[in-house]
Amino acid sequence: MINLSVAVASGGAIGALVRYFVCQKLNARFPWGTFLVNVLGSFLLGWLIGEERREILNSFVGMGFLGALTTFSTLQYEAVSLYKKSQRSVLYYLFSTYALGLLAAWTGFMIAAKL
Amino acid sequence: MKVLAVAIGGMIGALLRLWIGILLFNPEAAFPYPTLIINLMGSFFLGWFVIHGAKMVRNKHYILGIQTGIIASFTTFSSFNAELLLLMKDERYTMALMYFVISTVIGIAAILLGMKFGSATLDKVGEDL
Repeated sequence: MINLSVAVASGGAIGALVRYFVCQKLNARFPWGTFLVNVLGSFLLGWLIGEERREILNSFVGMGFLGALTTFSTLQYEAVSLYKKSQRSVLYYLFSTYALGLLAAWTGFMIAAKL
Repeated sequence: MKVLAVAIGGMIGALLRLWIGILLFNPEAAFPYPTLIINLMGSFFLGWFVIHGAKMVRNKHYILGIQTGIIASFTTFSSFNAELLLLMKDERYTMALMYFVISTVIGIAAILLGMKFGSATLDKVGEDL
């Protein structure tokens, strides 16, 4: 339990930092940074699940790093904030994140399964 | 300082997700509801925080640590997709669709409710002063 917590906490710190830097660079008029970390993180987690590696790697990378790199609450909040500016961009944002997120996870999973 | 705030927040958020996930985990459940509850709780709290919580905290680094660190790391999008994928792989399509619809619809509702709750508690504080 202690090992698990240390792995998740350290992965979480790195994931949050990477998300922070990417979003700072790319989130301006449109939350491209959040979009990017969410889709990329889903791809990598799909890959990790397909690999079925050892548990500690799953906790550090999967639950810690990728869990914190990607975010659900910020996505919802940004959608609500975008609504005030442009209702159409809310639809683009949500649809592309959900569709490409799932597609990315599936692609990662398939790549791992074939390798 | 900003980097430290985000890193510490990320640790706390990820740990809370792990521990609450373990607490809620039920091996017999057909539905991945720990992630669902975590994502909806986090969204509600974020809605409240941007309206009221941030005004209580005031310090910019604490706000960054709580919002970008704790809340954003607590909720997760990658596990959501991985769970959808696993449900679909098991050919439990109805369950996958339900999971998707509940997460997306109530996710937005949770933010809006959180913001409404935030304005309500904010007004209340205003009256007290």
